[in-house]
Amino acid sequence: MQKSISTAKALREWRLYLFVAVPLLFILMFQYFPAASAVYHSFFEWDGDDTKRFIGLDNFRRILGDTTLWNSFILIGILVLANVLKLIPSIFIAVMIHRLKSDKAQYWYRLLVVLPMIVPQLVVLFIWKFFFDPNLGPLNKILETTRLMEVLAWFDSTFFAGNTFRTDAPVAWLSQEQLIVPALIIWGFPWIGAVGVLIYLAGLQSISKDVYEAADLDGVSAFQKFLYIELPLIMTQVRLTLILLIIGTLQSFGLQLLLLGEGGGAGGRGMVPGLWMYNQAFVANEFGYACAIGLVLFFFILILTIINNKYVRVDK
Amino acid sequence: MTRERILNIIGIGLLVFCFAVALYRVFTREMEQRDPDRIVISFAHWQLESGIREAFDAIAQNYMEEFPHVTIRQIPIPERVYPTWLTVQLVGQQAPDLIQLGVGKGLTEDRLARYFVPLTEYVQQPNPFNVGTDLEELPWQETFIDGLQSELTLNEQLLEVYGIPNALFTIRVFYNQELWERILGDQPPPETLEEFIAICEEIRAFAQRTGEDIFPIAGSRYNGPLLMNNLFTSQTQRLILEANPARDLRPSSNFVQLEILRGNKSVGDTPFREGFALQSLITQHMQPGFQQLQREDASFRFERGGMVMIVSGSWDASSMHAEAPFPLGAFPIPFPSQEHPEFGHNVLGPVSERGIGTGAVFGVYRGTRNLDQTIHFLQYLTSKASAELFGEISGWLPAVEGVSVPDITKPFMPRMEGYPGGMGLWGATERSRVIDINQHHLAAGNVDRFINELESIYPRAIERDLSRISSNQLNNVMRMDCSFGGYEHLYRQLPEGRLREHLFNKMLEISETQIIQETNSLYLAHELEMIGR
Repeated sequence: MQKSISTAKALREWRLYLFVAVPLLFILMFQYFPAASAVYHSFFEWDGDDTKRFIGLDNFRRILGDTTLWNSFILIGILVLANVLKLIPSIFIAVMIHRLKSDKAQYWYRLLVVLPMIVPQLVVLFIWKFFFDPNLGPLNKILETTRLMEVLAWFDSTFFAGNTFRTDAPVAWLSQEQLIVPALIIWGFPWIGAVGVLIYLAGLQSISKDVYEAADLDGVSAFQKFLYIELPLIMTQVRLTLILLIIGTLQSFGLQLLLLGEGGGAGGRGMVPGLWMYNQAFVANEFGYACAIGLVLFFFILILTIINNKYVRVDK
Repeated sequence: MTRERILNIIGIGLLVFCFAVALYRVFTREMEQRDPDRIVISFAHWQLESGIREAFDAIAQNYMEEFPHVTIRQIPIPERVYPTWLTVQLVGQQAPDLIQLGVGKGLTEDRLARYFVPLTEYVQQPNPFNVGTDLEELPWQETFIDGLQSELTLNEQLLEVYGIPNALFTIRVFYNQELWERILGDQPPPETLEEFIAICEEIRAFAQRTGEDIFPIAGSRYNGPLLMNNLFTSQTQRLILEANPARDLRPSSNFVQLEILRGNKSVGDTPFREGFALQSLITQHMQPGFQQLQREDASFRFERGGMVMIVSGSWDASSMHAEAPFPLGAFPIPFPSQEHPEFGHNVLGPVSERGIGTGAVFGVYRGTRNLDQTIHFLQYLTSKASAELFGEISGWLPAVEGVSVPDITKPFMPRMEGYPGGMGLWGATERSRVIDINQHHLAAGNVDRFINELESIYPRAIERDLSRISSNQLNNVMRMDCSFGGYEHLYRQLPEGRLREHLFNKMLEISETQIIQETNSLYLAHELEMIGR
């Protein structure tokens, strides 16, 4: 149990508080003040200038009937699910690297995984944008060369409307309603996140060798080792990445903005709450309403984080 | 010394060096700004086309030679991020002295009134840099081709001039002359839509016959709507005139929108339907998936030689001439003739470019520390001599009267004969968004689906846009109350005289613009209420 300390004792080294005060001031200034300002402005009709009109809860009432915003949460749900599945390759790669016998090989594989991190995210997005280009992009070229396009076209014409994949016209991945969500999921293939791999590796390296030796003596297979030893013991890391992933997915909109534009692409299928917030602030100049959307987003993230903390338990 | 230590020292050395350079740059820049003997004037624009920055630089250089105590700094910002950048600069009160107006939908009346200096009084005086020319006696305003009556220069709600232009822009169909001759022989450029479509079909037939990867028109998210919107206006020429209750020959799409909200008109009505059909027809001749491409993608493909035509503004002419490895031609967008069996009956006649207005318009930031010098530079920039130099280097059509036009620019001269254009499809924020996200139906040739989608969401978008316009105007009236109050206070203190009279006139102007705006705002609000929105 923690012991409380007396005020006199706490104040004896008062100079130390000065060191804390400076970063605290910056945090207040750059993190809490903008957040508080957003809460304040969400009750105003405000276009970012110094003129604003108090409108009470009107912005929040408007949110209730904002179908674009609520529909964007459906896409977020899909993307969160997809991103959870996209954690698997990172865990898999981390386990593979961890199991390498040679330290040197481990080092080089770690380096290979981390190296793409130095490429700016924007460049990666532009490369993917080029991948999806209907006329010059490699994705269509690969599908055509491997004749997978014919399979997709047959599948499409047999089971669906038959106007998405055709052999006589290139597939417009980012301007066909039906393909926008798949394109947003395909993005980043093979979904090996360097940060994720490093986090899992750190967790894996803390597993004692004794556990593996005991497992070997019991004749446990490689997959059973993963299922009963490694995965449960890196669940703390998995939970951390899960929280970061949910927050990141809910907040992010750069990918959609770059690939699909401010409107979220054909049919608005790529619209996510963050992009709608950006659209309302910087395209429609409705900063007050954008602040209200931001607040709703904040509560969503908070609720999901609480659920995650409560139900994704780590039993060691 | 160990290897590790040497590496550490090199690392720290590099860090310190970079930090010192950055610090020096910031410091010298700040010193320059604070130097009492030096005036720094910065101007921001998004014109990154070939030759434009060079043209601005050449004029700035001449100015700095004449006035050595002034430094002119050019801030080119990519067009895509310019609206966001500008919003941040204005809200953060860190904007440059001169700001290009017009991109995006961000500069509403309230922003102009809040952040920009009204130039009405200045433009009524002659431009001192026109001394010795035939424009010497004329007020600065009258030295411009449009007399500063265009949308971006004179704001009709505020009754003030806020912008000074540098160029005249027209939209043209650019074509690859080499490819044109190879496919079409010596066929002249088309004059009507019928001829235009026939040419597109001939190009497609050629591509199919030879197996070459050639498309008639290079489209993109930017270039596609330029052509589509222009053609759409041909179908709404009659509609927009009929919907104007004042019959004052000043058509506004607001009236058509209100009629849609009232349920008297619908996006499924004939002029709209045929406008959409026309758009759909033309998109069939652009490359598949053009809606996901950017402006630079389309230009790149056109310049690579895979596309015969591309639609863009005269602002792109210099870049295209510089970058295309083939001779370039240009012709006006061919509109349907009245005899066209399908699209002719909505057409009044060819659309005149008389009212196209001017471009590369600069406004003066209200927070500038050097107002007089900024306006002085603006006068220099738009003097006859500078306009001549600007046109020569940039290849743009000049906005100033009597400036000679280089040969390269002649195809872009505005077409003066014709009728006013109709209502465009892309408009205010929300309307543009709903059109953008549904235009893929048109590209897929599915006009009915497009109309069905719009019928459910377009009225809501109109309502949102109109209520925003109404609210902005009301905010502006409220903001002007402060200016009016200030002027009135001063007016009471002053003795009879010229200044008092000037203040009185100013108050009259403010109340007049307030009445216009308040009337418009209340009219829109009332109509929306009556419609039950």
